[in-house]
Amino acid sequence: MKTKFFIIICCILLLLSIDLSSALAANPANINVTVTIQNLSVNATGPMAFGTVVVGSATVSTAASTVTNDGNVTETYSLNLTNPGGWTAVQAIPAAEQYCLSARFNTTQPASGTFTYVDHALSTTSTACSATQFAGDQTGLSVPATQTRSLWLKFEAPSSTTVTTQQTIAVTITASAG
Amino acid sequence: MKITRNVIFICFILLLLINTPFKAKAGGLSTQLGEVVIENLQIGHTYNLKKLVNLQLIVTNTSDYAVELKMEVLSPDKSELRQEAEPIPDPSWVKLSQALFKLIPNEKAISDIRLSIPDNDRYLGKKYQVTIWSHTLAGSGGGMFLAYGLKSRIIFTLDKVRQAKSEAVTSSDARVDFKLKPEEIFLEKVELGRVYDVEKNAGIVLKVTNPNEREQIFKLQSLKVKNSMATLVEEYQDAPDTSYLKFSENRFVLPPKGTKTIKIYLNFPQKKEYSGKKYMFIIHALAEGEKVTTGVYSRLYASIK
Repeated sequence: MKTKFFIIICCILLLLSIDLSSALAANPANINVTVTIQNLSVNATGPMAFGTVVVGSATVSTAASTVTNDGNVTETYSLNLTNPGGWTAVQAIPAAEQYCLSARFNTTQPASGTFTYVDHALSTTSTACSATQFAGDQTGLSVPATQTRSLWLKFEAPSSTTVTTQQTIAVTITASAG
Repeated sequence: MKITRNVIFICFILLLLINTPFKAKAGGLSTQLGEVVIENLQIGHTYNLKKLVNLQLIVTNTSDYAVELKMEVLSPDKSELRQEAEPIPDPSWVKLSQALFKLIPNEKAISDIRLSIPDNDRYLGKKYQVTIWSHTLAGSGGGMFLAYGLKSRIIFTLDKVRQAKSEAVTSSDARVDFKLKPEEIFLEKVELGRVYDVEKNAGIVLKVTNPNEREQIFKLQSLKVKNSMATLVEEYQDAPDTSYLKFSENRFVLPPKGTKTIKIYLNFPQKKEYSGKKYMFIIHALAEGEKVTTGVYSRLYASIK
């Protein structure tokens, strides 16, 4: 009888100790706020210069945009475009009312044939640079602070168009840390 | 008919591309908020980061011309996720006090960030990431324009336990806008078996600035990347031992608006395994508060001789 009573007491004590430890573990934690990256900054020269472009032709810009990481941390760039009202960007040979705009980081003007649709064609979705994406002999991946890159564009005109008003195409260069 | 259409098209293209002003202009944006990590938020609460730690999203137009700027809250792409965080379940948890701005050169866009966590137990203990994309908008007129953008990362964890509503901290006098400079330190040809004085060898010292109107105690500590909120940089290994990185002072008091200069020393022992390697350390400056602790990171990269 005494043994049974002793076991019950032990069980109650055990349960109490479990309750007590879980109550301690449930203490809410203090809030910690850490700024891990300061001073993100990007600078570039533009707009991009093209020569004469005719229907169905492809042209590489005649001057590069110099993109500078003027922040204090390593940055990776992402690129995207904004379509003009009358045309749609494609990542293939453009048909009527379509165009393809490609981007490549390179020290000198790249030949037209060095751009590929898979690696260099821009879309409206912001796409991060990688060892291959938008890469030439330079990349927009992990660019150290103060370093510059030369960005070249290739414009492939629509095969035909009925658009008669002037259009605007914007290429956005976005920097993020890392 | 076809010839006429092609003539019109060529004229149009000429307008589009040649009419573009070719004089190169410099454009850009900058922000102090590259990445912030907030730990132990409570479910069922709304946090205004300005009230919590005096943190706002401030973006400066560094272009030499006026721009229109838009701030957008986005769920990050998988490739953008850091520190094993999940994408925020709903970007509408984050609200900005203002999202559209017209900025003249050097003008700043300032927006409060408000983070509302739904009152649902399934979010307890979770870690989420959200992106705020600040970008310029295309100008008017025809041609090929460059626009600029910055992606600020906010990573936050939710406490594993629910706190009584009355006890939850949603505001404090803590500030996370104190300065720790430089943000990155690169050291080359660090010799093993001797103390490397960073000021003597590289001309670099740490500077901590207290922006407060009151006195503040600061602490400095060296961290391994794996014990921090930072991400290891490619080509570098994590610091083998945090005791190899020392400071002239680890704890100090700064008067209002005061700045302290701290010397840094690296002391790698003479071990063959370190020779020719590259190591990354995190320097963590902390301002301790009663309920809210704030911190800022700097990164030190050491290439061993």
